[in-house]
Amino acid sequence: MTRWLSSIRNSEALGSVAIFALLFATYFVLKGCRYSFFEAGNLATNVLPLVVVGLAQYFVVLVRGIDLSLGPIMAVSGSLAAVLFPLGIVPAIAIALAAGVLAGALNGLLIARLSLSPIVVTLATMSVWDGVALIVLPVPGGTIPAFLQAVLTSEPALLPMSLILLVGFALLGTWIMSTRFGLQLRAIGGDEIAAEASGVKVARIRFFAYVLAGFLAACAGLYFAISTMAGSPIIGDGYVLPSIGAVVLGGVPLIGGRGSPIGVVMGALILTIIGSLLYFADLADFYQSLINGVILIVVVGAAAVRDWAREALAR
Amino acid sequence: MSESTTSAPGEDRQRALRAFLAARAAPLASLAVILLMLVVCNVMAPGFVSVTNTMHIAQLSAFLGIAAIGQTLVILSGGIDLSIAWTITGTACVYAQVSQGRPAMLLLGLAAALATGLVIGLVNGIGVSKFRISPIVMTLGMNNVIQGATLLYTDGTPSGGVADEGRFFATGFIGPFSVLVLLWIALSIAVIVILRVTRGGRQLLGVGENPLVSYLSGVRNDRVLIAVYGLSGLSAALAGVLYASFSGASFLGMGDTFVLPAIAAVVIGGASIYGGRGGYGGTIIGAFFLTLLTTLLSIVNFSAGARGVIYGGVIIAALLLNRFTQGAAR
Amino acid sequence: MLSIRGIDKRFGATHAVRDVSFDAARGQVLGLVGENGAGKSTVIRMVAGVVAPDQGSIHLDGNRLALRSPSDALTHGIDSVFQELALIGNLTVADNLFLLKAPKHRWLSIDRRRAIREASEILERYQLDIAPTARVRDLPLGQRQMIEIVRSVERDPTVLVLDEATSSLGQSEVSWLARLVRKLRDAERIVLFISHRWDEIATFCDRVAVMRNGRLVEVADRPAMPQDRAVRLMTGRDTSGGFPPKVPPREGTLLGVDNLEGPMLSRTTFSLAPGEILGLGGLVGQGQTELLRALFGVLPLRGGSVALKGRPLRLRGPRDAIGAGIAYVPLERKSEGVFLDKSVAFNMTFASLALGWLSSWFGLIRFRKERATVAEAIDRLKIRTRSGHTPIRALSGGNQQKVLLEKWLQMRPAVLLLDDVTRGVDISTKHQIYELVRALAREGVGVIFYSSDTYELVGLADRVLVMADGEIRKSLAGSELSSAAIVDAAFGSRVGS
Repeated sequence: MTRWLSSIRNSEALGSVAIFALLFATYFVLKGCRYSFFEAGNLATNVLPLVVVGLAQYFVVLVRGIDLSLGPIMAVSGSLAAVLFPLGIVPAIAIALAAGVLAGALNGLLIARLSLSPIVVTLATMSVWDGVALIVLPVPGGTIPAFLQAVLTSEPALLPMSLILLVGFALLGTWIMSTRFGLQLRAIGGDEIAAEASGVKVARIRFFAYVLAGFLAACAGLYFAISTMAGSPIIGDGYVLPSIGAVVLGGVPLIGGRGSPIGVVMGALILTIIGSLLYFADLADFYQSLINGVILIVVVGAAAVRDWAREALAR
Repeated sequence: MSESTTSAPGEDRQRALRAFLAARAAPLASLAVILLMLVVCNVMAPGFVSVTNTMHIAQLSAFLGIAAIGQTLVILSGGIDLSIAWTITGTACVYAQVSQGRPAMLLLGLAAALATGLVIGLVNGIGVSKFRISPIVMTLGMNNVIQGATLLYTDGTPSGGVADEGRFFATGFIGPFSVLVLLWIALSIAVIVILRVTRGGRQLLGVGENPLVSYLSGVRNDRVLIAVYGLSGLSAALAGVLYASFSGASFLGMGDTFVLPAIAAVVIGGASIYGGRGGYGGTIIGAFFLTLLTTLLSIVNFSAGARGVIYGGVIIAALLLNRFTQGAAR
Repeated sequence: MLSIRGIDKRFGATHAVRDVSFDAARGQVLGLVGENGAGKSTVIRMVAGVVAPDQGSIHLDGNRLALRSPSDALTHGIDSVFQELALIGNLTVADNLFLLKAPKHRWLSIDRRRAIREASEILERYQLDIAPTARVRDLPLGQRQMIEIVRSVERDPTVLVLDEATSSLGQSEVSWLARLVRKLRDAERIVLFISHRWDEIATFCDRVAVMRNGRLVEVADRPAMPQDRAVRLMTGRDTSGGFPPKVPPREGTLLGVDNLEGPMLSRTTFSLAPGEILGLGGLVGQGQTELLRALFGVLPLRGGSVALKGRPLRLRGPRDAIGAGIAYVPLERKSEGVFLDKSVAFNMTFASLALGWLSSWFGLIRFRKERATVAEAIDRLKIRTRSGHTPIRALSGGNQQKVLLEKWLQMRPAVLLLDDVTRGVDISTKHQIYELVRALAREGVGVIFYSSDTYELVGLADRVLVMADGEIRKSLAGSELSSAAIVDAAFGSRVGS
């Protein structure tokens, strides 16, 4: 436990944890202090897809990339699962996740192997996977076994399943970053040329960062489809900006090399709670996108200002 | 260091020609595909290639081409502008709502819409240059901000309209020539002239290829970037106004279909996505190519999904073509 | 045995390495010497897998190696330490040491505690007093270089390549390395050693290979290769001569620098006379580049003042400096000097255009005037290019440098700042640059130039300021000015540290 605490303290996530705590307290008070595991579970259910797709974006940003196709990959995986569930639960899930891995591998091939621009490549694959999702499932629907949703809403060990999954994905991310792969991801983001010269197989590691991102996005899409009891070919659009937002809010600079998965989880929580607070404040949906945009710009801009200040002090 | 620096003029010319072709592989290839598509269409539907039809496709290309002016400049500067989706929608809504379909209010609406676009672009430029926010985050965030602002402004349902006098610019004809196409040609000439023969154009290409070198040479990079994003906002606003004039009204999400094609047109035009290399001429071909492709795909009844896949595939193909003909120079 | 067989490499117009072959036996330390741009770094980079040879082959213990990347070289036991460091600044010392192979804990997780413990054991074994948890970015250059050497030696390579790996080491650190190299020799390892300092070649190496203009001129046992012979082979001339005659500077002060404080600079005070060529010396990275950049307005100053012809300057950016008549040719030609994709003409007139010359109303470029200016400059400076339209990347380093110089000469600067501009430039161009700089000085231009080559400092400068730790340690002029005096002053602060 102390190790956990110290790892949070040492990371750049501290600010995000503080903001989250503040927002969570506000949320709690507004809710009239009726805090319960049900509430926490509810929040976890809402935030989980964003956490997972945010983690996906995190691994790509870590190696100085960006992936705009993660949302559409979610849509493909969710739609595939919704269409394929009649064939059996296991093959449906396997194919849905494999689609994510494949999509990530395509991005990785074009970006890491052929050194094409991440922005344009993923813009293009965004269009491709958006199209594929529409072909697989032209309108939201499909069949999701009720049993799966029951599993997701169950409360093993008195804890809501979604909360367990949330912690699980956070641990998964932290574990990946504790391996040699994670260390090399940070090395590439820190100084690509030095990493290459040190013997790190930069192209291969970067490729796997995109594959991992594709896989995680597919997980997020699958979860979204199951929890809403339907596949949807168009859910992706709503996740492109927030996934980057979660990464940025989590204290991860877009030039890569730094930041922790816990920070990203916090970033996702912050964005989601802000959404809930807006709902409570009875503000129209319109504000959500406006505020998301403003937050993203302000946070990145503030980081730039902070860096200047730090430079000025270091002088 | 001792190799000969003199070579036969023939060899020189050949080398120059090869370099010229390599730098324009993607636009030339798409030009070839355009011709191929036209031939195939004419065979399958005789009479497809007519003056009226060509003019019609050119007219449709003009919206994309004008929206892509700013994108070309931004990409040449080494950035990207993802905010044009809602800039187009937002400014179209401003135009329609301010002018209220009344001829007398047309100019006021136009001025309001263009000013809105310009301000959006300038803010993008300030964020990118002064605050060093990465272009993708700045413009993606800005896109969301405008989306929210537009929804608030229109309260979710755009109102107003465009008077017939205004629609003339988008739908009118002078003889066999569409007014819109003539406008596009005039703008194209202006952009190409600015890029090729002015100081500002040189500076833009310099900033795009290597901002550090350009800064160390005494260029005020921030001004160049602010101007470029400002122009991008302006060109998106113009596209929005024209598109609203064409449709007679504004509607939410009307700009969404422009972002990817605008970037694609620039990439197909052979510009380097890392900045500093390319021009507007290629973008014109790219815009025409994509419009023709979209038209054909909808004629042969491809679903929206299949169109998305083909669109993405075309962009990747263009990227690969640029990559292998121009080298992977970043 | 490491055998290099007929390797050859071209970069655009530069034929960097021509048909080089040599052997290095096990237990041998081979020194590779040559002037800047002689091609020794390219040879080493091919051995290290950083660049692939166009022709020829590399064999180790009889096996032909196909090296496509540094990691390929590593798997064959070839490990290299370059002057540009290959450590990742935002990671800790321990992370850098275990980047490829770390102690595992459970489920592939790196055992941090053990990694730190093992790292401190390693550092102790090599007598380095560095905390394993320190971020590499925060360490001084010399320590970083030592960590990198340790990292390579720890991997127990068959071939260890040290490319200018001593450039920021002090004397005690160099003797530390000498002990290390001796141990490797005793363990039958092969060491390839590149250095600019002859005394290091003398103490480290068993054999010496001399390169000039991309060719291997001679390989001989160390005793058969005294310094003067090596220098003659390297330069193709005797040690003396090759520089234009010095002209005494004019009276007065052109540039007055008073108590500058800034990043890597402290209490820097000096003045520059009109027509004076002022050299900056010292070890690599002691604040010389920072000083030049501060004078060009690129680095923000914490204190002090700069005055040109008695008028104080406000330097908020290059534009202010340029406006006042100060020009700067940067150290990194490829990343800071030229637009590689653009033509000779584009590069040559870029600054003038930015200042508004060569353009008329609405910023329209005056093409005819531009063409004439460019053609005249190509002719005057004997720039080897097909035409002004040729992409500058097709030119050799020396010719690129001439284009860059011309870019600033067009604005007729009062003060010219040169940041190691002859590095990687061929000899004949170097001499042209020396002549050019001297001619400018004769016209009254003040020149401040940093060079990593002491020979050049002694030959060209009227006065040399030796810098260490961001301070001017010594000013040498007239009869005091010699290579030995510069080296002494440069190391002065480090002896015994």
